[in-house]
Amino acid sequence: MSDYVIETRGLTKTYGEQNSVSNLSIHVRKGRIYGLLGRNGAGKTTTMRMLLGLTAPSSGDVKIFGKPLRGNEKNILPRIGSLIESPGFYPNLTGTENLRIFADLRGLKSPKYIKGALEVVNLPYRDKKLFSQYSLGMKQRLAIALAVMHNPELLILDEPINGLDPIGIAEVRGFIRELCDATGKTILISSHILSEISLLADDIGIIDHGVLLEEESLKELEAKNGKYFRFTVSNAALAANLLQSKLGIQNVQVDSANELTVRDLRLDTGAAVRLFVDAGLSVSDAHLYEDTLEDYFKQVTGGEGIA
Amino acid sequence: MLKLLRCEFAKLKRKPLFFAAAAISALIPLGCALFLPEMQEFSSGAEAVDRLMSTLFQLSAYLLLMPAVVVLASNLLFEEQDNDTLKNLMTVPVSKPALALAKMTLLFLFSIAFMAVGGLVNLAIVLASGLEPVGFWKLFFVGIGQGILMWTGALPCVLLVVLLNRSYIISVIITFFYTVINYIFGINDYFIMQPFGFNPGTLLPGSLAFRWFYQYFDTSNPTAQMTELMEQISPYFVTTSQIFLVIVLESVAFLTLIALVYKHQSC
Ligand SMILES: Nc1ncnc2c1ncn2[C@@H]1O[C@H](COP(=O)(O)OP(=O)(O)OP(=O)(O)O)[C@@H](O)[C@H]1O
Ligand SMILES: [Mg+2]
Repeated sequence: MSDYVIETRGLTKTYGEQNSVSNLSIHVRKGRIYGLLGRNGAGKTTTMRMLLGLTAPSSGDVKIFGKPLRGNEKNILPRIGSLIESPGFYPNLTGTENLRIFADLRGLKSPKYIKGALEVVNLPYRDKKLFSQYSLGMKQRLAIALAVMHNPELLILDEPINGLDPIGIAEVRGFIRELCDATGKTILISSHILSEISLLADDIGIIDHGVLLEEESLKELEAKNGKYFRFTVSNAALAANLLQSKLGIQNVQVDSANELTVRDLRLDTGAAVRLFVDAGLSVSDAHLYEDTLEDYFKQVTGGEGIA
Repeated sequence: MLKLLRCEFAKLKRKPLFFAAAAISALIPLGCALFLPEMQEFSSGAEAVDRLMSTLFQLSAYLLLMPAVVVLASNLLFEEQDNDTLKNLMTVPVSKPALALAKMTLLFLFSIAFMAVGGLVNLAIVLASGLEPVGFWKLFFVGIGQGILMWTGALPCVLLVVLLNRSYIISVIITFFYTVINYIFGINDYFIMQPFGFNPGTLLPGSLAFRWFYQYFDTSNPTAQMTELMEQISPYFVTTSQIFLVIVLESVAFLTLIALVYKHQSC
């Protein structure tokens, strides 16, 4: 028995020739915020649609709450709140009337659910404004209200902060954080904005061209990939050789005739410089650098950056 | 299912198309009564009821109700796709066939209401002209039955529209032709004079409806021409239970097909 709320194995979706999602295995732990990070077209929405049974996978399977999604939709889906891509509501109805329809279908009799959900996203209850007259941000807020209205255990939010202003973004971020911390909900959130994910997520999955490149906790990620040494010496190749043979340091990379990068954190800079000088090399710079997540993202996606 | 139907009603709010269709059901009989001269001089209450109701059966039902059902159906069935609300419904979860059936049930009720309103307006006209509405209630219920028949008759056309997936212009053209064909069949001897069985005269709502409702008109003092017509077509009249059978069979078959096609359309 695993304590994963969402677990996929070899999840694949093929549209025509193209694999939109290929062989994706993600693991979302209970009570955590999992950030799915990827560029436009990486396959985030497709993945989430498959998690909700909106799109049938070409192969692979989805387990939610420890049970296969297929065949258990009636039990599983009511426990999930979701927001997929753009908000979809009836334009001829007001926000409250729209929510009332879904509340009715979910069997939520009391108006307190609707009121509560609208309060969370700062929209007025029983406002006269029709959905077709809503601004982009208001539409997005209503979609968030719909996702949280029935107090679900699991939230699947596809780019929830799309179209929100900075204050709205901060509000939603705080609200999501609180849902997770105070009520122990599990949240899967996707974004193409790295800083957003790093501010919010406990665990991160990086997806690119439909492939999951990396999956780890934010802490691991920061610890593992945070730091490296950079030396500028008169002969980089010789220096690299010395580090490996004399000090047993691995992960040494010669960048140019004079520069080398060391990702092995056991290195003692002082010892290294002494070694270089003793061997007759001149050292003009020795520096400890810290990677930003953005650099890391570039590294795992093979050079392509992200905003 | 009841919840879905209730939600379908809630979604109708502020939809001009629906109100226009509902208004027509009341306006057409009123218009006929006010502007057609032969609708203003009746010798008896029974004649007034007969004349007014036959306009409702032969004009409103054929030329307005049937196309209205198809157009409203395409509006309802594509509503979720157009507004991208299907994903929100599917994750509730709501089953797509149930959703399609809820929409068709709404139209079923609409058809009944359309004929009921038309009938009641006729009643008001008769009463307003100071006549006794003799035999009205019998024809009122025949009208409701015809509403159901027209709804059943519209289903094949709805299926076609769903199959063609939202090309609006083509839907309207199909609806137009279907309406005209049914209207012609409804007054054409060849189709009316077919025995009850597996033939166009039975399967097509236009001719079938005629063969049913016509027997309920008052024939106590017929003209010579009328007597001759009645002799000709009365052997081909169908009974209420036969009608009921056809309605049930056709609606079950077409509703199943509509639900299946709707289910397999992408969301
Ligand atoms: N219905 C579809 N038919 C064909 N191709 C599709 C379909 N849906 C998605 N795709 C393709 O799948 C790939 C992944 O799309 P997806 O919407 O999952 O990306 P995303 O990560 O959500 O991107 P974004 O950040 O822009 O929302 C894209 O190349 C897209 O063109
Ligand atoms: Mg997307």
